Amino acid sequence: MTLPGIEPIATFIGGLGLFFTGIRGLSANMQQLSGRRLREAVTGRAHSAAAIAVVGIAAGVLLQSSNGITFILISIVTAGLLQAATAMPLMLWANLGTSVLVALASIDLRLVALMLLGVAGIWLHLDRAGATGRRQALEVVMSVAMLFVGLELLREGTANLRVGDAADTLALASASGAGAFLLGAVGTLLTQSSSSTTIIAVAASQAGLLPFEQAALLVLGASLGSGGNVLLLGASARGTQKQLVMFQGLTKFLGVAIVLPLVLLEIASGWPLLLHAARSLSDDAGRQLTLIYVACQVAPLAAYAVLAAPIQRRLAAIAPPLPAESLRQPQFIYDAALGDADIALILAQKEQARIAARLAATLESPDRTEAASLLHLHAEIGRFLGAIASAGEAGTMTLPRAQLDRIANLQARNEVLRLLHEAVLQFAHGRAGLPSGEVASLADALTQGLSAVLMCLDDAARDGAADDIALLRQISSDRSTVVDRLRRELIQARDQQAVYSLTSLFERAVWLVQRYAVLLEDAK
Amino acid sequence: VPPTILTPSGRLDAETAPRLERDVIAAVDAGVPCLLLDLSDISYLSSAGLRVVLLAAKRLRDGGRLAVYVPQASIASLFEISGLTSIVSIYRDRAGALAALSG
Repeated sequence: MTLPGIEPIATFIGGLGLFFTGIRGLSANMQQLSGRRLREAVTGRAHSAAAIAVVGIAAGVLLQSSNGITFILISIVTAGLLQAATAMPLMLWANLGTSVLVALASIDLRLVALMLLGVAGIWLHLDRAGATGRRQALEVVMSVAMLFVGLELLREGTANLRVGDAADTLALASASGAGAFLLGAVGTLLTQSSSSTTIIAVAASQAGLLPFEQAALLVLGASLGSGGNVLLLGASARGTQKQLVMFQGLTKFLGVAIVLPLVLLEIASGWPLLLHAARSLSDDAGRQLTLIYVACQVAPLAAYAVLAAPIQRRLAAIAPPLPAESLRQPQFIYDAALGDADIALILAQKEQARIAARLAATLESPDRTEAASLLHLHAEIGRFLGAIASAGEAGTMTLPRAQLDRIANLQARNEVLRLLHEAVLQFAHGRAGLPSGEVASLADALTQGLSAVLMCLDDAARDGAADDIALLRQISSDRSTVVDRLRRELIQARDQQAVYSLTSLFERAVWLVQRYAVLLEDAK
Repeated sequence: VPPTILTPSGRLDAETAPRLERDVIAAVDAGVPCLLLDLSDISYLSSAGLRVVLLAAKRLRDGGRLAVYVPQASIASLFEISGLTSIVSIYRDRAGALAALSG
């Protein structure tokens, strides 16, 4: 028994739930499944303007998320694998690629979607112990199917709601152009996906719930909301990362700034402009809205083709790359990169190399502020690595055995680096203020010797070349014999405590470098 | 082929090491198979100087030979402290260094 009028509401809500589950599952599984290939395509093939367009559109089609694409590209740029100037047009083309889902959503795919849902669901149930890659591919299929089944339920519910209260509420909210625009922006801020909002608008428009003009304004509002989303999510980004976040956010705004006046002018004057063009290209309300969505993605592309250089200059002026000396601020790791374990681990490695590069300078001239900054950076890297491991444990990210090993290796390296930094600082402070004499000469010799070892560590940590790691292992071999000899030579010296303290710290630092070299070797 | 001999003098530190580094790179790039670093005129050796020696060792690893002549006990001790003795052959007598390169 059902309450009168409850069925269309339940159908609508159930459809909405299936739709969001599908779109989220699609984006998350595609990131896992195609992350590495996408990175390879972006870094290996995006060299010419045509290749950038193809790779960008493919990325958009696969990921169906402007936010996802933005943060993947930021990770790749931060890892030094791609220039920001290349990432910018890639983002714009990828935004265009997200139109494919909107276009598909305007077609009735109920039967195909139900078949896919059934096949993928049954297969996943029977193939519980199957290979991760195959299961992820099946989950992508199931997410797509769920998305379309949800969309069909949404359409059905919306059609039956036409005479109901909910329909009146939606109609009221979007009665004015401004209301529809606002609804699109707020809806996208909530769903974090302008294509989702647009697809819902397509369903509502096809059901006759939303007049075409209002639906078009809702789509424009959704594009504005998408820009706002990226800016909100990337609020903590810095330097070049900030440039890319701002670029994505501002180009979304730019698309709206170009298309919205045309739509408003057409509504006010009745002149045949964009809405007329959409109507003349298709009779279907869904396809007409898809064209408006595409126009919002194409407009920034056209603007960028003309204004690329000034846009890049302005962004570089607003968010200049971080100065290398700002040690406290991580230059590579950032939270949004946690969605892709592979790239997150590369970033953590690069951040660690920054610390390794400062050790020789710390030994020569220790500075308390810099020491505190490096300590903070150690903690940040530790927190970042912990977050990757936690994502794996919580199941929000699939971490194969090799990646778990890499996390453990990087965590061990982080601890070794922290202890090494501590030993180097203690050594440098112990050496300071020694009166000139044989103990000070010993301290200088130990300083020069350790500094050479630390320079080798810098080379190996930065490039990770097998030759450099092998040299590091050799140069950090056991020093007990030479240290014993040095102690014996100074047995008559007045400050025996300084001799023992300095030689012990030296031995400890060299031993820690040896540990680091072994960990670098294990990671190869 | 007689070895190429580089003979820096005075202090070999962050200020002067780049000059020796350039000489080492030029020699290696010219295809020199044997290199003798004669450090007998060195009065002080810093980590920057040690790094140049390491660079020479790396550059000559594939097919080349390197020997370092260091008669001064204090500077030879630096090679031990830095661990470079496990990578580079250090000689306290010049004849021994030359013999090792020609042998």
